[in-house]
Amino acid sequence: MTSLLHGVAARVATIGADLPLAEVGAAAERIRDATALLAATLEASTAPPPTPLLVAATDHLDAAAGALARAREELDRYLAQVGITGSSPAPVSSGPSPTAWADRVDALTDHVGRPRPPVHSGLSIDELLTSVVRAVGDRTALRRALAAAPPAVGWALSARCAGSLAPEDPARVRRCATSRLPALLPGLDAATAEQVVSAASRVAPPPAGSRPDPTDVAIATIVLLAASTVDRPASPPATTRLDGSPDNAGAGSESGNHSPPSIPASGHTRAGGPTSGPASGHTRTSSPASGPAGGHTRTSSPASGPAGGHTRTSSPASGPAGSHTRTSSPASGPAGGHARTGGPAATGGRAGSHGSGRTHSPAEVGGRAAAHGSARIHGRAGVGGRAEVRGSAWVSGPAPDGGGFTASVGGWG
Amino acid sequence: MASVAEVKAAIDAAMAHVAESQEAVRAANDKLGEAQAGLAAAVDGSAHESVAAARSALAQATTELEECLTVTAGAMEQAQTYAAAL
Repeated sequence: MTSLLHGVAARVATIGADLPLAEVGAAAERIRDATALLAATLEASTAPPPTPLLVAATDHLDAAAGALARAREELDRYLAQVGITGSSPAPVSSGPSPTAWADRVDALTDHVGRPRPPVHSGLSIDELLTSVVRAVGDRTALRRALAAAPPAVGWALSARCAGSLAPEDPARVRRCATSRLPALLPGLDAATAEQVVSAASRVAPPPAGSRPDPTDVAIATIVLLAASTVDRPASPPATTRLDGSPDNAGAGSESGNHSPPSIPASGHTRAGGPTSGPASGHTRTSSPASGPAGGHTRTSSPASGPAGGHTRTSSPASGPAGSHTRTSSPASGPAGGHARTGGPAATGGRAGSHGSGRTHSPAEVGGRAAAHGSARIHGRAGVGGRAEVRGSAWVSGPAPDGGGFTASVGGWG
Repeated sequence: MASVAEVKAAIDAAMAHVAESQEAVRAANDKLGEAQAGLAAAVDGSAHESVAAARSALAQATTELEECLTVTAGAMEQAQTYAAAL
């Protein structure tokens, strides 16, 4: 026979167990999906996007989930303090388990049951992206790179990748997915792959019978961006200088063959939670560089081939340059993020610098250059095409026409 | 090359996610209301601090869910206005 107190305890325990944490979690997941899709779709728009409101909605949901969890804890504490323990139903699990990310990586790469690399808690988003770009073509290395990532870093990178996949050429993204994903992610089902491709192509996904695992979508998005980067075809750089004279400096370079992913937000993001919004970068190049360069790039001598990660190169480099690469001599490849140039720098194609950029010698940019933050050029600067500077820019040294000058540009220049 | 129709379709897809989220929030709100009513009945007469804290937390969750609905409605309106102007 149960006592009255047991009856009260059972009611309280049931209330605690029935709190709608699962519903709040599902709502937050839908909002995140919508945010990622809208961010990818309206990336280039200057109109006020609805994404900040959706981010605010997610914050409210996270706060609600926290309040619900706190309420459940208080009810459990109440039951314990009035002397009734063990009658509380098992708590309902909400949210993925801590190993869900690595579990799905193992499943997708067909490495279930094999020894797993330790999680690198200090891994940054840039570093993870670099590792994945390097691992394209090697499924074991890909699994090692992804499984070692803290889930928060993986999710954050995925969110950024979702807005960075090439919308200008959906057919190429689809070809890349068709040719690369089955080999790299044999465990990925066709419906999820289609959803990832649709999102990358900025089209509505086909109606699916069941909702794809969001972790699978996140992992596949990262891999597709990395593969798309490696497979990117060559494109001739623009060769017009600021003064209108022809400039072939970048024409002979190997730039443009493998542009690194253009991630909206770069910087040194560490594990500890997903990040959003543009992050600062820092760009310095210490010697002649041409072509797109991506990420934190320093090169000590001519280098060619994909470069990524915290890499010091002492040989010619060109092609895809991932993050955290140092170059002290001629280099080619897209540059976005931290780059320092101490010598002549020529960039063909598009160069994006978020944060600050410094160039201590002649700099020539063919195509489009965009700097968000501040940019300083000591030496000669030649820009062909369009240059956009959000923030401020300083240019000192000889002008393209030979005269010395110092220019400061605020806002858009 | 993407078309306006594709952009609108993507916005529609995003708004479908938001609508699903709103449904989940409303369902959560309903369950939360039931929990608050059930707790009030079960612990009627209790002055235990944990009970008060739990009730306060549930009230905060309710507020957060209502504000979530408000901002998602604003986001949908903004997205629809943008899509209509394309």
